[in-house]
Amino acid sequence: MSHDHHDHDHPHPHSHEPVTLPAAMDLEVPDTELAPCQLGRRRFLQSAGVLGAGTAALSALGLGQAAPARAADGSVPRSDPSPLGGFRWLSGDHHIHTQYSPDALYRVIDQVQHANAYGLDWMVITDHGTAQHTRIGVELTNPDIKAARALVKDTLVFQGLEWNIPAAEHGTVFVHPGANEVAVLKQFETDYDGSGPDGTRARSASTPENEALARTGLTYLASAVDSKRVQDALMFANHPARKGIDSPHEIRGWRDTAPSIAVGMEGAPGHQAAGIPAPIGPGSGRGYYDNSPGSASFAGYPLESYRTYGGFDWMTSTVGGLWDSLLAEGKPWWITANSDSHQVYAETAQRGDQNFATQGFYGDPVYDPSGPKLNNGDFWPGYYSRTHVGSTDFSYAAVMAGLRAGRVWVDHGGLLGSLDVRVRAGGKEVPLGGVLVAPKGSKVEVITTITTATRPNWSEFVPRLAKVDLIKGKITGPTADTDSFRAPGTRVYGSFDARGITGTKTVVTNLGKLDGPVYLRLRGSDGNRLGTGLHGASVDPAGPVQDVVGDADPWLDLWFYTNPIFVYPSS
Amino acid sequence: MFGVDVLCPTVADADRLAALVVAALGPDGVSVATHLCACQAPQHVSLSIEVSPRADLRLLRETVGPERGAGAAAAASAHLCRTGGRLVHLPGLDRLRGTVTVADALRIVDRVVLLGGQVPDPQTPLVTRDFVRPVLADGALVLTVDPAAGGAVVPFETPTPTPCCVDPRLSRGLRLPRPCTWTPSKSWPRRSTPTKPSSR
Repeated sequence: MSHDHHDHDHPHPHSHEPVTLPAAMDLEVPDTELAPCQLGRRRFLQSAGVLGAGTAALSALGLGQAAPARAADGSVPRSDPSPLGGFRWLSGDHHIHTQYSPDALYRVIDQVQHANAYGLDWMVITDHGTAQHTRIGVELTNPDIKAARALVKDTLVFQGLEWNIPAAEHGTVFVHPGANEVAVLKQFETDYDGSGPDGTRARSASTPENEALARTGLTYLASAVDSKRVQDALMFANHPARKGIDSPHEIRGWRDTAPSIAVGMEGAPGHQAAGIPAPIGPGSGRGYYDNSPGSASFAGYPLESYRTYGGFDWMTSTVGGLWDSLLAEGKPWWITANSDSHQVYAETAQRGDQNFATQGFYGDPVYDPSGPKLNNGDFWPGYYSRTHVGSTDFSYAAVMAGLRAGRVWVDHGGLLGSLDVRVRAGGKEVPLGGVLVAPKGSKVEVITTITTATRPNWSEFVPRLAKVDLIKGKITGPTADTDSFRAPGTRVYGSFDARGITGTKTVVTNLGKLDGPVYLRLRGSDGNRLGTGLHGASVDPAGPVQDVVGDADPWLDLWFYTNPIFVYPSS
Repeated sequence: MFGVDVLCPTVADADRLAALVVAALGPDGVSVATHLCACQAPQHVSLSIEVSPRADLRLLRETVGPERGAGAAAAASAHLCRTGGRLVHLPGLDRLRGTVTVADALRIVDRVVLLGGQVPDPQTPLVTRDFVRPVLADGALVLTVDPAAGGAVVPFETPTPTPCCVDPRLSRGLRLPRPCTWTPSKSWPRRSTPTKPSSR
């Protein structure tokens, strides 16, 4: 679409800045004309089935047609086997700690067998970057992970790291299993972790040099994939708004530096039990979000950003907020929901020893007869937070491909049984994370297939979905202000009452004619805590409410969020 | 009004320095505020100090040590113009202890607002946790509060924020470098605790 062709016959509420189709999505541009990063984007669009031939193949996959259910070794995924939309929705968690973290407790197998029991298909072990982990833990974890893979075949166990991002918060970094998984993680941690191999944390300071070091670290991971030292690698920013230290320009910088590696952030942090009131719980902020601005915080963030809303991070829960500001640029940036499990609520075990500093891990947990620890703020992986990835098969590679493609939705407390969202226009259809290009004027429809929860969750009740919101945002193109965290063209487009739905139901929402680039995403709730969003009722009339610090029961405030689908008009 | 920038790495470090200042000068007629300072990298925290005309300025200088950063003037100016600064000490602020009401707080600060902008009823219980840090903005001293259990409100800022993961408080017995702890330099006033009687 060029400015000359812009249609002035009818009023446009949107800006008259022309928005052109990204080159990676325009099949008129041959591969050879694309910059490497654009080519990477095109490849993953193609592998995700949203461009060219893939689109047709994907449209042909109807509901109920199963993708391959079985991995080569005969193992099957752990979750509900019904494939919605032609994908296996594999539930997982990319943020889990073990005895190789200075603030955690469990063996690898403790986390893996709990995650497996609670229904997870994939998980990532992410111990903190520390001097000890760099030197000892990263290597010692690997045999434990390999043993767990052998014992528990129906949950995929990735090895990763909780990266102290130089000058910023924490992030998950993980790689595809393989001969070099430890070597690459160890090298990455040695050279790019904020703790530094000397443990001085000089790299953590909020300086331009350290911000650059973070980006170089992501480039290192991209090169490790390009050179085939590892088959794949991904990075997600963790609890991004917790302390206000992930500035908008740093987030954009990670994404833009390595768009095939740095693909998203936690939409909901872990530690979801932390807000259970004392004395039966920690009485802290949900997600341990109880901070206030500090010396390293981005000065532009409002105080509201330091709290969670319906259990979700402010960047994600605010309609028209930071996440939307990235999506409105047309930038793929995906959200996840994880446990950040260190020590779970009401745990009855304690550390076998306290020798982390000298040996790089704590001794195996032992029973603690003093009684359950109600001051712990975490849940087991799979117990409360789930990240569902639309995967083409049950494999490490498919989970990573699905995450990179943004074919992801997340929920708390088992709010939904399953979910598939498509956008249809111009005779084509794309799934979550997809990019659809259709002639201007095409009818745009959102097709939402919901399977309600039929089995009890891990608090032994069957959650009831009350409503679903469709959020629509204008794609206005790249912003000059890399510290922007507002998307004024994004609002709740409409909602439907879901209380009557049982079993599987498809809802088709007609969005009218395509007259400009937009993105669409969904959110839904149990309806227990609803209020006006931070940008007013015209943007979000019934959104999540700020969690009360010291009084946030996670089971009485359940939400799901989907990742977006982008729709562009062709010329 | 004085600005002080000795490159306190964190807000907690600046609070400790502020306590030393108040201990040295005495609590009367003294206001101390902290300021997040992005004037030079790495970002750090500076102080502004309003003292009574009778204060012993030599003692103040001895307490805070030599200037090391570039944020002093901005801190003093923000405090004086009431455009910025987080008050650590202010005459009357220490009366807000235990559980009081929003109305009690309004005797000390100009406004009390709930996070998100709503104004709580003056009779709402305010559980202070003995830690009240109102902020200067647009000419007014504002205490932002959070909703809390039982219909009460609490100051937005908690005295015990969840520390970063490798903090020893979360891992008893662990001896790791402390990312959040600042050690006063030798020129700092541990040796010059105010034994000297003040000019009062």
